[in-house]
Amino acid sequence: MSRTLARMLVACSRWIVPEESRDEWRREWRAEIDTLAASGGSAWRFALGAPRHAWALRRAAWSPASALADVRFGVRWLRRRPWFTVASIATLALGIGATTGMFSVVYGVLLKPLPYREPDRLVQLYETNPLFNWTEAAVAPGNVISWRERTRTLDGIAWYMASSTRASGLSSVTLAGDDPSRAQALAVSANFFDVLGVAAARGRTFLDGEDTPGRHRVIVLSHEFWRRQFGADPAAVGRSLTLNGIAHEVIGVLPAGFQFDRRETDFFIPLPARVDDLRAVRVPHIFRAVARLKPEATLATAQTDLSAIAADLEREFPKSNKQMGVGLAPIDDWFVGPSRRPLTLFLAAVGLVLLMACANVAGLLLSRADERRREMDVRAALGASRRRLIRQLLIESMIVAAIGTALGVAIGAAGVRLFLDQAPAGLPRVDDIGLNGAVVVFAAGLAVLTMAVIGLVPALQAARRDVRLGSGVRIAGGPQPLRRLLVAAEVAIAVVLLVGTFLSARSFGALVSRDPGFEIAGLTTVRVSLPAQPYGNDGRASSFYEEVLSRLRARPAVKDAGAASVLPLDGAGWTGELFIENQPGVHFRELRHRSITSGYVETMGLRLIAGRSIAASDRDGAELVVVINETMARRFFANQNPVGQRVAFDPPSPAVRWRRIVGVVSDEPQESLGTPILPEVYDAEGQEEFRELAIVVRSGLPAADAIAEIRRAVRDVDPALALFDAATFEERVGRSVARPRVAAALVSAFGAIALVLAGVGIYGVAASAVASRAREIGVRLTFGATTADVLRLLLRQELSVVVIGLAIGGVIAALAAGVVSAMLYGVSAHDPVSYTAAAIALLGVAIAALVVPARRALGVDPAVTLRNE
Amino acid sequence: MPRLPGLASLHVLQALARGVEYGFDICSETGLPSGTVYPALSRFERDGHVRSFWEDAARAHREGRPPRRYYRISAEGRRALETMLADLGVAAARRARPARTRS
Repeated sequence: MSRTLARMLVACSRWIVPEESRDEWRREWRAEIDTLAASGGSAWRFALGAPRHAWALRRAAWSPASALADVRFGVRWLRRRPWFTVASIATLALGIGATTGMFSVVYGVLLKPLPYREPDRLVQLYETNPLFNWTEAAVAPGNVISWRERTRTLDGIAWYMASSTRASGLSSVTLAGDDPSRAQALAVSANFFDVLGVAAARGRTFLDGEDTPGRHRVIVLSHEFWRRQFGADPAAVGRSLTLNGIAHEVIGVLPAGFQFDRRETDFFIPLPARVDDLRAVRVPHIFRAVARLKPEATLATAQTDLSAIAADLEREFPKSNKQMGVGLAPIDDWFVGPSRRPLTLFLAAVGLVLLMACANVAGLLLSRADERRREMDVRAALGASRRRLIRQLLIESMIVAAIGTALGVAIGAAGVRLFLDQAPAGLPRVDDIGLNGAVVVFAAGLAVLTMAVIGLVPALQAARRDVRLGSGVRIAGGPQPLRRLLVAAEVAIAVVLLVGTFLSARSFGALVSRDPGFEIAGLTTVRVSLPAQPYGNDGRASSFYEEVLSRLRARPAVKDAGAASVLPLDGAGWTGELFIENQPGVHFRELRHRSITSGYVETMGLRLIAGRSIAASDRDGAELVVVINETMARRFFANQNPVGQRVAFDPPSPAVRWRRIVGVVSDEPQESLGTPILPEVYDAEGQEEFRELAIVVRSGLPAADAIAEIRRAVRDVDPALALFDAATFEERVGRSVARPRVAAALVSAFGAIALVLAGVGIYGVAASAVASRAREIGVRLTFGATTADVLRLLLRQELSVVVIGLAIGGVIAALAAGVVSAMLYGVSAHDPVSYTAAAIALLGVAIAALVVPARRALGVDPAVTLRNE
Repeated sequence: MPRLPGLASLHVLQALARGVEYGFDICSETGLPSGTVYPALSRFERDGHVRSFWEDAARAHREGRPPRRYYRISAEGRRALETMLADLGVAAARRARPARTRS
């Protein structure tokens, strides 16, 4: 019994011993065991040492010298085949580079945890209302106060100023100095940083109560602003900063890497308001709120809690809170939500590309291994063990993989840098994107994976064959069905990516060729913000703008000038309600709203369809007037002349302020080039008193000169003002289509890479096929087959694989269409032109890839082939 | 001079110097487990301190057992052993005579 056990131990451990010593080792151990058992000793206890001995022998057998020899041999072999080596490495580098780069972006934007304490416990609060089609609206201050006082599931609610988009409402403030400059500030409640769980890196954040009037002249700086404006001065805390003419004290600096929603916030100021004052404000929805869940609360329980409070508020304030509901969303969902889907799609696409690259390189190595059969046989005859030969192949594959990965990571890093330079504005957390630890680990994991795939597959394939000389005539293996399957899969993937390429290219083309409705060339704009002192009232703001505009119009180079509160493509605008005097049933809730000065319509080149545009005489005291856009005229005044009719922005009542329509102008783009145009009213700036306007100038001057003209005109009237957001309209249009442009470029890059890889894959398999069938082809040619016959034979086999791949890919693309259709403009997800173009491109590449092997097949001299047997 | 991982190897070499020849015997002489003795023997052989031989097959067959492998310390090995002992401050081991186990 003991002896049997001992023998089993030895038998199992035998395989660990290097092949050359294996038999001898076993003999020795068995002999000892037999002797021991015969003399009555405990054989199995003795045999426990066998595995250890086996391991010791194996470790001793591996010498750095032999491994080094393998590496040297491998390098030499690779260098003798430069095309193959370069192609393999380049393929891998492309695949890994694309994947690493894309993962960097996805990690930075989607995966990296937000810089707050326990960010998964933070939620964004918003209000909903079916009456106005509000799904994620800003919140009214009074409601926030009520939630704060009555909630049982939230640990703290903080609020900040909202803008009409999802983004936080940054206000531009003017910093005093020799050259007044502008900064972006976010006004927040005093507990804002406490709720987020962020402490200042220097100094402190806001104290309780610092958001009440009188104690609110304090600032917390962002790290970036502290570096830029204060030169990272450690004594910055305690210094004074003049905002909009009022001195504020710097009380703290935030840690590097902190950002809230958008990276442009330069500093944070308290929102000065007394709680009792806020409580009464329930109609204007001007805040956004974040909150922290209590430890025992969940999203669901908090939602129930807040909905109950909202129902109570509806009863207590029936006029303002009618059907006003509350919603919560996890904060990272709120920030990055819209980007999540496209980014994940990109990552999937890139993963597919990497798979293709690996499959290709594996195939290439496999075909090389086939060709090296003779060399393998000779080496085996000279005593190399099969294990040794496999190790040789493995090492060569790993050399290719290692170099490819290193290059790939470099390419990925460069790609990320390129992407960041072109990054569309509004991509959240752009600062978090970069080559960091997680990405390096990911790349290393990728490297191991690819080495396994491309290293083991050829090695195992080689092992399956009998590496012994003189086994007589052998049927050539040729490319396995597995490789053909791989090629079909590659073609399918390439089709999907190519369809995506053409779809996004056409979508982008449709977007930029859309007629913007106004003449873009020669338009320059600069924004000006007037401080409350001294422009707060009495029409001083309007006078200021009229003065500046008339100065500008007086310049010879300036053709026209005007100003507006919101420009086309600004991405944000006011939305309000519309009531029409003689149409009592109309209550339109998505009215776009802008204030313009005289000259704006002419400067932008809008068509005046009826009536007149805003004039300088439309000032405070005169009748309230508005101009409407064509869409509004068509929708609400289809059968009548809108000019002369009256509209209001509040429900009709004796006290409501009616405004008379004095003109109709052609449509202008609103949020972006692609969004459908909504009805819009332009009211007179002179009657609305906006303090911040964008001045628009049309001239023949180059951009810098035009901006200089505007600056001079402004400074001539008031030298203490800051100007910002200077740009030509060409730049603004470019910026507004930046996101679709980057997306289209990325998809096209993937499509191109996929096309090349598919071509390489097809070539590899075809070359293998020809090589293995050389004898058969020779025989056929000898016995009278024409070249056409041979070609037909070859092409039929290879092209059928491609066609199958095309069909599969086309079906997958069509099925996946629903996923991307939301991101397309002006082209359907089943656009036949794109599908056809993709198929043609692939077929073209396939045929090109087959040319070389086909010619080689025909060039085979049958006599030579037959003689080789 | 091969680097020895410990006193175990020293014991093995000493046993060999005393004339113990078979793997199992070395184990029982030194009290060390086979998992220590055999790797040491392989190492010594690689470094040339020990030579191994296979027993005459005919003889073993006559005795009804498989031929065993036996080990002998070489002259080089004896020198290495002396150096090791000297390093340890032990007086030179008495030279053992190989025991005559076969006629």
